[in-house]
Amino acid sequence: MNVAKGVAVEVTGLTKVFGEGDTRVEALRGIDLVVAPGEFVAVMGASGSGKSTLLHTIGALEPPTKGDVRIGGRSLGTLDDDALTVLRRRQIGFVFQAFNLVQVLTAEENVALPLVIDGLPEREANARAAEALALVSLTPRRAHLPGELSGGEQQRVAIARALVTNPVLLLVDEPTGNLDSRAGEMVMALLRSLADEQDHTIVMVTHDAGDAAMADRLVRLRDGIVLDDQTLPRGRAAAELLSEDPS
Amino acid sequence: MSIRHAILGLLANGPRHGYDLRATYQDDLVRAGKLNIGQVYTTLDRLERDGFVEHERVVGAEGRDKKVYALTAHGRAELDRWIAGPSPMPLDLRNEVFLKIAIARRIEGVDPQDVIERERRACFERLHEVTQARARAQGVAVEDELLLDLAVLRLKAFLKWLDHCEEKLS
Amino acid sequence: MRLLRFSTREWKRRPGRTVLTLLGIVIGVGSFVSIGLTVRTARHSTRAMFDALAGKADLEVVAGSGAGFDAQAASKVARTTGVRAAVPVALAPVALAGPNGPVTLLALGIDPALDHAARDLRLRAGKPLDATDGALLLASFADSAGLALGDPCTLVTPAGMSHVTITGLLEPGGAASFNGGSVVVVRLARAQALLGLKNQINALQLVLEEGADIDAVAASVRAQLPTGLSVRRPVARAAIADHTVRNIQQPLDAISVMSLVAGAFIILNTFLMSIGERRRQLALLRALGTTRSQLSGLLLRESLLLAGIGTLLGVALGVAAAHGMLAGIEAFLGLTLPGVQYDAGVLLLGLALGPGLAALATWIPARRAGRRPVLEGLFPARTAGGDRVPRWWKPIAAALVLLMVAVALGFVAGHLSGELIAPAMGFVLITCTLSVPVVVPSLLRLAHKGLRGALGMTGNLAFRQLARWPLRTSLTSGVLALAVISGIGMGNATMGNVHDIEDWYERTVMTDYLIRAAMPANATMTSPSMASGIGAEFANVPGVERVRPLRFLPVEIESETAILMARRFEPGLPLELDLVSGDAGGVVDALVRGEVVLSSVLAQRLGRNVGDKIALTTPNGPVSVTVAGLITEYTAAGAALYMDWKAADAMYNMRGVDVYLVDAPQSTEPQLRRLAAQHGLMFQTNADLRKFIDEIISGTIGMFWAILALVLVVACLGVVNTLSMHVLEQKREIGLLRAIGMTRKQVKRFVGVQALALAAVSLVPGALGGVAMAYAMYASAYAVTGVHLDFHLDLGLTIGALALAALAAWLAAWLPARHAADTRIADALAYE
Ligand SMILES: Nc1ncnc2c1ncn2[C@@H]1O[C@H](COP(=O)(O)OP(=O)(O)O)[C@@H](O)[C@H]1O
Ligand SMILES: [Mg+2]
Repeated sequence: MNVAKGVAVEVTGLTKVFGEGDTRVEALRGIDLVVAPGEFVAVMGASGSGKSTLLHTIGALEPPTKGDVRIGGRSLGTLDDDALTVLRRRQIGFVFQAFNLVQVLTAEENVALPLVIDGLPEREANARAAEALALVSLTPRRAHLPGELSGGEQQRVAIARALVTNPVLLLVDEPTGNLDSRAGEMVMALLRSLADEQDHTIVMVTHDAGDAAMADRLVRLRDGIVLDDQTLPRGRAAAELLSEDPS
Repeated sequence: MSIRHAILGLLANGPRHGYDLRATYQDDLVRAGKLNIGQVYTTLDRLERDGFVEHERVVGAEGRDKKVYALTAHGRAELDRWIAGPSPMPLDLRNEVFLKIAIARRIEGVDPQDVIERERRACFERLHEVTQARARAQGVAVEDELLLDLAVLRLKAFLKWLDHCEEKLS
Repeated sequence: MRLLRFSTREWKRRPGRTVLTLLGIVIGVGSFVSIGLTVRTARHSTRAMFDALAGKADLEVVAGSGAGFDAQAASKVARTTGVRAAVPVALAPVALAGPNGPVTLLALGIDPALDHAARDLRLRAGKPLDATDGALLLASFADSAGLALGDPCTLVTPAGMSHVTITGLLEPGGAASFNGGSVVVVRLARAQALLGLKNQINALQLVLEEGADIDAVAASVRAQLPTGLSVRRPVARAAIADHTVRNIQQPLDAISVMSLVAGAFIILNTFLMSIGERRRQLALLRALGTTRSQLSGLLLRESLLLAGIGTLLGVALGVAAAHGMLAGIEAFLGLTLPGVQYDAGVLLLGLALGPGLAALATWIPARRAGRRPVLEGLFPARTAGGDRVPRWWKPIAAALVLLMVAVALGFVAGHLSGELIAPAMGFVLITCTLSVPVVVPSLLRLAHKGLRGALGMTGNLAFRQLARWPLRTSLTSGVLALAVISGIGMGNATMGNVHDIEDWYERTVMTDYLIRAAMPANATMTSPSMASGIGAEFANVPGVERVRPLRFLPVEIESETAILMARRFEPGLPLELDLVSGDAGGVVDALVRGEVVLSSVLAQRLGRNVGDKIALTTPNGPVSVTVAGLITEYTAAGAALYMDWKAADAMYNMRGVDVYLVDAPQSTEPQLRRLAAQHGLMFQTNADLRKFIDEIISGTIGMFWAILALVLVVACLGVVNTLSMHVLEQKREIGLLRAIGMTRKQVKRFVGVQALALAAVSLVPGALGGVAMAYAMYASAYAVTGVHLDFHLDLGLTIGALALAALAAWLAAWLPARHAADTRIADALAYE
C-alpha cells in the first residue's frame, strides 16, 4: 500500500532559521532522520525545541533554510509550490493539535475535502470519506458540523481526513494536547492501530511520554538537534507483564 | 501486603479449602508473585488460632477428606477493620537508580548524566512495553487494566524524576 | 491607561487589521469632506459673485427687469430714515475683444464721489476714477487678456464699438472679483454712454444705517417709488444664476449625501468587523475580571484614538481632493472660483463623522461582547462559530423600507417638496444598505442553490464560508450595494437629462448663422448686446433671406425672475420652439398678437397654464399678458419666456440686440463673416452653435461622470478594504486549506468566488435602490423645476453599472486573494 522502497522520509542536514539579527532563532540545527515505511515515530522535546518546525518542514509547509527533505524518494527542494501542494494533498496527511476542521463543512465533507480538492467527483469522495469515518468509528456522526462534535470526535475526524487520501506519511502534531485523557487515549489507540493494521507511516510530535510510548521509535530533540534516537523492540504481552516477578 | 487479610477477604463469600484459596489468590489477585500451599496453611492455622477462621472436615469427590475454612464473626470484624483503615504508604526510597546516580557522583571519571540517560532509555523501553501491551491487549479484565495503568503511571513518574535529576545535576 | 496599552499592543500584533480599520476612516471621512467642501465652495462662489457686485448695499431700487430709469425719479429715497447712502449704478454686459475672441464683461458704471459708500475698489496701479475718465480692470484679468495700464480696450456695446483707456488695475476682492474678474468699472456717465442709457441708471443701491430694520426701510422706500420701480434685496439678482447653480447643485447635493452615507457606512462597517473579530480576546479580558463597562470603555477609547488619527488624515486628504475637484469645476464653468471654502459645517461634520461612527460601531459589539457568556467567546470551537445578524435588525430595516415606500409615494403624488430630494436620497441609500443584511442570507442561499452545479468545490466552499458569517458578508456587500445604487441612480438621471437636452436643441436651433457680441456668460446668463442698426447691414448682403434680432432680457414676473427671449415670429415660418402642448400655427399668431410662451418650468413655478394671464413688471408698470403656449426650454436653467420682438420692445423699450439670427445660403457666408469681423462681432454657423452646446453637454456629463466616478472609487476602496478584512479574518481557514492541498490558484479562486458572490447578493438590493433613486431624481426634477421628462431606464447603463460593480468586486478581491495565497501556511495556522 505504501511505497515499496525502504525509505518513507529522509531528512538530511535540515536547518531552519527564523528571523534575522536580534530576532534570529535557529529552530532546527542540522537534523538527520530516516523513517522507514510503516514506522511510527514519536518526536519528543521540551517546548520550543523545534518539534513543530521539523514537522512543518517535513510536510512542505515551510521551506528548509538548509538541508533536504525527501518524501517517498522525491526531494522537496526541487519542487515548485504547486508540486509541493499536490504532494501535500496526495502523499501527506496532517493532524493538528487544534483539530483545524473547516467549520462550515460536516464531518464527512471535511474528510472528503482533500479528495474533492484533488478533483475527485463529490459522490466518490463522499463514499471514501464514509469509509474513513468508519475506520475512526464516527459513522453515526458523519452529518454533524465540527461545532457539534466533542474534542475527541473532532480529532478523530481530523485523523480520518488525514487518512482519506491514503497518504505515504501521516504528520501528527500534539494530537492529544487539547483533549482529556480518555479522549486522548482513544486517539492514541487509533493511531497505534493505524500503524499496526494499515501499515501507515506516522511521525508524531508530542511532549507526553505516555503518548510517545505508543510509537515504535522515539526521537528526542533539544534546541533543534537530535539528542537521542531510540528504536523500541516489540515487547511482551500483557499477561506476561502482569505475572512478571518483581525481583 | 497482607496475605492474612487477602485470605480473610477470599473467605468472605463462603467457606473454601486451601488449594482453592491459593489458586484464586495467584490467578486473579496477585499474579506477580508466587504463593506456595505451605504458606497458605500456615497462615490459615494462625488465623484459626486467633479465632478469625474455623474449619470442618468434608469428604471430597475422590473420597479424601478436606479441611474447609470459614470466616468467624470475629474474623469478619477484623476484615472490615482492615478494609476501612488506610494502608501504610511506604515511601520506598531504597531505589537502585538513585543509588547508581549517587555513587556515580562520588566516583572520579564517571558522569551521572550518562547514568541518567541510560536509565531513561531503559525506563522508556519499559514504558513502551507496558503501553503497547496495554494497547494491544484484547479482552483484558478491568483489574488487569488497572494494574497496567499503575505500571504506566509509575514509569511516567519515574521518567519525570529522571528529567529532574538531569536538570538538577547539570 | 494601562488597559490602553493593551490596545496599542493589539494594533501592533495585527497590523493588517489596524491599517484596514484606519483606511476605512480615512476613506469615509476623506470622501465626505472633499465632496462637501466642493459643493459648498461652488454654492458659495455663485452667491459671493452677486453679493460682491452689490457691495455693502442692503437694498436696491430697480426698474422692472433691470431696465434703465431716471436717477431723479428715485432721488428722494436717499432721504428716507435709515438710509445712509444711495449709490447709483449703471450696469450691463458688454463684449471685450480679447486675444482669444470676444468675452463677456460686465460694465459697471459708478459715481466715484458716492460709490465708496457701497464698494471698496482697491487700486493696485494707476489712478482712481475721480482722477481720470478711464476704465478699471482686475489686474489678473487684464493680465490674462493681454492688456496693460494705458492700453485702449475695445468694447462692443449696444451703442456700437468704443474704446476706453485702461487707467487703473484693481486688487482682487469685492466688486472687482465679480464673475471671476470679468468686470470693467467706468464712470457712471461713460457707462451710460456705452450702454446707450442716456442719463439713466439700472439700480440705486441703498446702504442702510447701522441697526436699521431692513424690512421697515424697504417698506417706506417702496411707498415713495413711482410706478415701474421696485425695491429689493440685492441678492434677488442672483435668482436666475441661482437656478443655474441649483441645476448643478441638486446632483451635487445628492452626491454629497451619498458620500456622507458611504463614508458613514464604510466606517461603521470597518469597526463592526474589526471588533467582531476580537471576540475571543474580549472574552478573555472578561474572564480575567474586566467588567462590562471597563471593556466598553477600553474599546471605546481605543476606537476613538484610532478614529481620531484616521479622521485627521481623512480631513487632510479630503481638503486635497476638494482642491482637485474644484479645479475641474472651474474648467467646466469657465469661472475663477474663490479658493476652497473651508466650510465649518462640513469640516466639523467630517471631524465628528469618524469618531462618532467609530464610537457607535464600537458600542454595539462591545455591548454584545459584554453580554455574551464568557465561555462562548473563549471557546468558539465548541460552538458553531460564525456570526449573526442581530435580531433587532430585521424590524428596523422593515420599518425603514415601509417609510421609504411612503416617501416615494409622497414625491410621486407631489406632497413632498423637491427641496427634500437630497435628504430623501440619503434616506433611500441608508434604507437599501441597511436592508442588505436582512436579505443577504436568503439571497446567498438562493444564489448558491442556483450555481451549485457550476461552482465546483472551491466555489461551493466559498459560499458556505460566506453563509457562516452573514453579518460580515452583509456589511461587505452593503458597501458594494451603495456603489451600485449611486451608479444606477445618478447615471440614469444624468443620461435622462442629456437625452432630453439633445432632443430639445434638435428641434429649436434651426437658423443658419448667428451673429453676436460674445457668448453669454455661462454662470450668469448675461449676454452683451450689439447696436440695433447692425442688423440692417447683414440684411443688405445679397442673398440673405432673413435677419431676425434676438434679445435675452432679465425680467420679473410676479415673484419670479426669468429671461425674456424676444424674437421675431412670422406666420409661415417654423416656430423653432419645443412646444409641450398646443399647435404651432396658433401659437405664432398669438405671439404676433403680443401673447407670450412660457417654459414649462416657469409655468409650473408661477402656477399658470395656457390661456392664463401673467403680470410682467415693466418700466411702465405691471402689464398683464396671456400665455399662448408652453415649451420645453433649457436656456436660463429653464426659467424663460418668449415674446415677439415688437411686443417686447413696446413693453421694455429694448436697446440693442444680443443675437442676430441670419437665414442665408452658404454662398453668403464669407461676406457675412467679413462683416461681423469689421464690427468686432462673433460669427457662428448653426454647426458652431451645436458644437458649442454639445461641448457644454459633454462638459456637464463629464463633470457628473467625474464626480460619480469619485463616489464609485470611494465605494471600491471601501469594498477593497472590507474584502481585505474579510479575507484577513479567514487566514486560519485558508492556511488549513493550503496545508491539506489547495494550490495557490485554488485559494485565489476561493477568495474570488467570495467576492463575486458578495457582488451578486449586493446587486439585487443595489439595482432596486438605484432604480428607486433614479425615479426619485426624475420625480424631483419635475417637482423642483417643472421640466417634463419621460422616465425611462437606460438598460445598457443599468446593466453596465451592475457589471462594473461585479468587476470592481472581482478586482478588489485580487489583492487580498494574492495575499491569502502567499501567506505562510504555518503562520496562518497559528492565526486566531
Ligand atoms: N514563524 C516563526 N518565526 C519565528 N520563530 C519561530 C517561528 N516558528 C517557530 N519559531 C521558533 O522556533 C523555535 C521552535 O519552535 P517550535 O518548532 O514551534 O517548537 P515546539 O513545537 O517544539 O514547541 C521556537 O524558539 C520558536 O519560537
Ligand atoms: Mg509545537
